[in-house]
Amino acid sequence: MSDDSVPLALPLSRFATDMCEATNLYRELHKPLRRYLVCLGLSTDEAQDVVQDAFVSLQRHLAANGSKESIRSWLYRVAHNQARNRQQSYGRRFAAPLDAGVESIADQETPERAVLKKERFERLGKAIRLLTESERECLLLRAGGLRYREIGEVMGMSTSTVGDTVERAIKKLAEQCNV
Amino acid sequence: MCDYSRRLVAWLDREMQGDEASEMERHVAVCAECRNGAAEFDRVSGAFEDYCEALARTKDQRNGIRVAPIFWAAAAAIVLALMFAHTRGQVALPMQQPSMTAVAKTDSSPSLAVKAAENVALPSKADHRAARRQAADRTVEGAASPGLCSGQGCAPRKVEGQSAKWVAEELAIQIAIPSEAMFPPGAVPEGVVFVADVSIGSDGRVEQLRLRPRPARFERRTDQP
Repeated sequence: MSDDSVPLALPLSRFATDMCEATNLYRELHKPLRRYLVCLGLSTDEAQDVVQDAFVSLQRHLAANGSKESIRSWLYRVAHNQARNRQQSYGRRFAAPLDAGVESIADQETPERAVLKKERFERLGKAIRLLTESERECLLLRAGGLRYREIGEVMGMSTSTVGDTVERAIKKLAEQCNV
Repeated sequence: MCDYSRRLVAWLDREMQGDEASEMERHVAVCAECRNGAAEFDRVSGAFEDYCEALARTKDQRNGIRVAPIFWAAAAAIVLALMFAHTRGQVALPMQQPSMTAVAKTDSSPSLAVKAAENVALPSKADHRAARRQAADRTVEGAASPGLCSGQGCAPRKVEGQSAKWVAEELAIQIAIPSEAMFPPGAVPEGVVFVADVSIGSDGRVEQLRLRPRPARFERRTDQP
């Protein structure tokens, strides 16, 4: 290290706090966020890109002294909007949300378990296709561990509407498939 | 149909507040219909999460299958090249140099040590991908440069002219910070780039920080006479 270091006029405590916060959020959220994006219909590569972009945006947001309240839903909202923009731009390239090849899901099991699991996933897949887009997305965000308030912030809904939507979606799935 | 069944999912999701949640809990304990409903909704929620998990895993596997042949072909080519160089007595790379596999991991590692506060704007989407590639290149350079920690490819080591605790003992990534966030406007002359080595403790406190100015690199134009 050379001796030509210069004094730094930066509020270091804030900088360090922001860095640690971003790091902890990355550790906590990058996997569920990627899973959410994949289930929204992005490829794994696209989902990874969107996650990276969302965390770059987070870094900018923190550097610009942006609000740290509801930072989790802020991050999901950024990723959600980017995913939607990509899907609108390249609609044909992406699969429909939650539209999986059930055979490939179940192919790691023993034959008996694989058959049962395949049937279960087939029923569930059909039921999921009957849900509305907002119902599917609310369930996906809920599966990612978001509270109703946070889901509302991502989707632009009130908390009570999210509660009703989740309730309706779960009941539809329960009626359609006996899992 | 029981009136309470409308709120079963919110109760299962712990979205109810104190008194309401207690009331619901007491009701479910005595109402068989709601108890069965709660069990069914819980099962459906679990199945949906399993489905999402399996879907994400399946897509990962498909992706892995596509990448695997390329990876193994590249690995085989490197091994063959090293064997060829060794038999000729001309080993091309020193063994302590980080492998390309180690370099590739650095871009997704969480940070405790931060390098590179540069006099540039934050990367755009395209820049971000380019930066990841450049970070991998710099990591290879950094292996020979004692002043820079180069992520996972760089084992914790004592740096020349520094105390041992200066070097981060955890994984590192490189993050570009806009100069406006660190200096007053106009304080940094154009053409100067600062490299910052920041050591951050586990409690989030900055333990040490050094800034080293260096001239920006300019690439030679190939079309010049």
